[in-house]
Amino acid sequence: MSSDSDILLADQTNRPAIEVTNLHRSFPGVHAVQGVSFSIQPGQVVGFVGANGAGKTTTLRILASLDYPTAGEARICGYNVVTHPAEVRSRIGWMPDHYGVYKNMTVLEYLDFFARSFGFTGKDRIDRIAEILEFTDLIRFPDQYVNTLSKGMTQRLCLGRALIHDPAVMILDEPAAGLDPKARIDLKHLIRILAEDGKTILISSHILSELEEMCDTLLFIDKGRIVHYGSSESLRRGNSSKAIIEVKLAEPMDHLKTWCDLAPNVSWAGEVKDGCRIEIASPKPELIAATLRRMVNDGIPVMDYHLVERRLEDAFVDLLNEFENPSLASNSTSHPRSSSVPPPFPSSESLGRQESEL
Amino acid sequence: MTDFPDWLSPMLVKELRQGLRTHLFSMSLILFHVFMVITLLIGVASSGMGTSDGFFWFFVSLLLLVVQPLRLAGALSAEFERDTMGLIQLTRLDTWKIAFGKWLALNTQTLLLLTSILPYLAMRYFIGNLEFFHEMATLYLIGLGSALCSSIVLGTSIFQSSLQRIFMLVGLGLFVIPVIFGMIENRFSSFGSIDDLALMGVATLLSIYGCFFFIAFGASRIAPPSENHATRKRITALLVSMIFMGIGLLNSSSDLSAFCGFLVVVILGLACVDAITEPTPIYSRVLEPFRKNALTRFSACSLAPGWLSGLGFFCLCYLFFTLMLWDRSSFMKVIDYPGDISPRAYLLPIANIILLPIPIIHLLFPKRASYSFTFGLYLFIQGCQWALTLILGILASSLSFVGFSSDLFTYFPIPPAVLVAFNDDPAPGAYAFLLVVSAFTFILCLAIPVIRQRDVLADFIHNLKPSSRRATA
Repeated sequence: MSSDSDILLADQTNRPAIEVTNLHRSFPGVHAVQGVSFSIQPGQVVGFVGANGAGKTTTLRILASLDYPTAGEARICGYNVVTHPAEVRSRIGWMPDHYGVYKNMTVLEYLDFFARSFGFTGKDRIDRIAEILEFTDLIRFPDQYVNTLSKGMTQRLCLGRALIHDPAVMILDEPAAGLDPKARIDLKHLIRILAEDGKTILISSHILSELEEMCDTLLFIDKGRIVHYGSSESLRRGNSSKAIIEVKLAEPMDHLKTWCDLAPNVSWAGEVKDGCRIEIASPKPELIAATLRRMVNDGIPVMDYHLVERRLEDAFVDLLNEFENPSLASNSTSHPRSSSVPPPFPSSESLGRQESEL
Repeated sequence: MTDFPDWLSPMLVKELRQGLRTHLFSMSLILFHVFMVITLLIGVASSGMGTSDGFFWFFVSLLLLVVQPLRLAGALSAEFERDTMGLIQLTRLDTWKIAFGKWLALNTQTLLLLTSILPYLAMRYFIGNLEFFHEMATLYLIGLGSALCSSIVLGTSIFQSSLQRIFMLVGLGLFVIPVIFGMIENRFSSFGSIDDLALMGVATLLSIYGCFFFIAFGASRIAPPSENHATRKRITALLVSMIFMGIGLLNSSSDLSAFCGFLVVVILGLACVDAITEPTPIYSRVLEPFRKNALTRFSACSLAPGWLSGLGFFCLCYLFFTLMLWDRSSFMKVIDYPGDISPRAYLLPIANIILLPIPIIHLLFPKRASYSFTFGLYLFIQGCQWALTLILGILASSLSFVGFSSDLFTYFPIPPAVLVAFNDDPAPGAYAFLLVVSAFTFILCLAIPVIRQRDVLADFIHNLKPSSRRATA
């Protein structure tokens, strides 16, 4: 809690942009966040995923210094969010899951208010507002009342507002919620530019496919605990040691079924429309390629042979099911058929592994 | 973007831009001028201003004391409802600047309205031969009242429930409006012996402090745990009380002395209620300034944020008030006491009235840290003990008990009932008994929350230690 030690930590170089250690937040009767730990390096774009009520917004609000933890610690650029909120606030751009706009106020006045509030004066203020208007493509609507803007424009305005003081870390809570496809593409484009600009971005969303496109890493939270932290690829794979292959043949499947019974490291996984699935004992590419080679050499008339990847949504749902009920892990409806349950929150060892993965 | 200079508060600029565009402002301005013209015409038609005098001041008072302040109803809670408070708090604006900016913007508009009244005052002077400076002084007092009322409305706008806001406004309105009109009436009728200049001075100081207190009240209740508003509020309350005490002591007019005594009770009472209902702060940077040396650590016991030091502040105020009043009977005109009972005896039940809800709150809800919850519950318990006293009083008098007060006290020893008992049973034996029980209640009211929340006390003591000693611990 000492401010001296905080400043010392903040002054150290190469500190994570966001650092959360064993964070807890309780409300009367609800334990919203339970021992969440993760860290995000400068320049990383991380997707924060979880069902409604999982603890996403509470965690983000604590990171934005708008709420405080009941235990644990959160730091932005080395500064503790509880003890040094002013330093934290000057380094973060916060975009909540609501628009937060005023009536009787134009786009220009809205940005002007926040620019003044962040201490911009004179020409600096005017220049900064012009830059933001240009970046968000609102330059043609400076005198339009903010409550008359479309959702997409309002969202761009809010992104502009969050950027007005040029923060190093952006925390975006459901930025794409309620937007039409074009507005989503526009927003995605802006976020990509910010990422290229070197900003650290933490985005929460329900739309996993979009997060996958924008983010380097995904952070999954459920019931206040981190259930996965790593790339989307690692989520798809899960902890499975097997690979599922979909095969299309030029003749009935019986031949392949018999072949599966005889061949090593391969087992029959059932028929699907226009083909069947086989399970290979390891997801290693060499083994997958070797299996195909052997299949062809043994005279199986293969027309199509491809690795089945889980949809991210399926992987997430499986992950949640497995996390909630480990005994159901093997009965998972989507494939791969087996994947082990991740720990409740990353251990220091797994965090190290995850970071090296990044 | 350059319509307002850079040095103006961003909040003031924003609120002015929004406020001047509202229909309520433009409509009230137009309607007000229509009424002013009608009032003036009535005055001309009746060849004198006397007939329209009441109408004129009614409309002015309605606009400045009711319509304008009510525009701030929900000012702070609306920021939460619109989810914009968090966005503002993330800027460099602290909650004081947010609340003050809102208040200042409204009062700038009120000043605009006041200025627009001046031509009518001039016309009233030429047509009706009224005393211009007398009218100006009245307008000044109404202006001060408007500023005070708007700060009260702003302070109560922290409550998200309209019912709570209405309850608070009615309660405070019943107290404040009569004070404002009392001062204005005093100017007209010259009742009592308070001279104009002293009254103006007291009214100005009271309004300035009142505005500060209610704005700070609102600001501190929306503030994040890292901000300390408590110290400034408590020191200001003590300083202003000392000034009023000084005015009272130096002034020859016993009316003014009694009035100042009354104001000191109100100022310290409100400041104490505010202090003892503060939530437990997260001891972080807010306690840093208090860790410097032994003196600052000692001052933290009454000036640091939180209800715990709030109890210390309460004891300090109580001590200050008791010492100052010990031999100044002129101040005690504020309380109507029987001749053979020492007025000092009243101080203990009054202190207990303020304190009683606190042990109840900490016994029942030790973990609830919400500002508005604690304050709302405090008001509720306060209302209950007064209602109970009233019911007991009605019951006792209607049943014609012989020893009304002693019965009342024996079975229901709640502080307001004790106060009634003091007043009604001046017998020496009863007086001593009541005093002992009051002292016991006082100690209990202070001890229960501290014992119940001893972990808070331990935290507080630990966090006041210098950094090196805390690290060792």
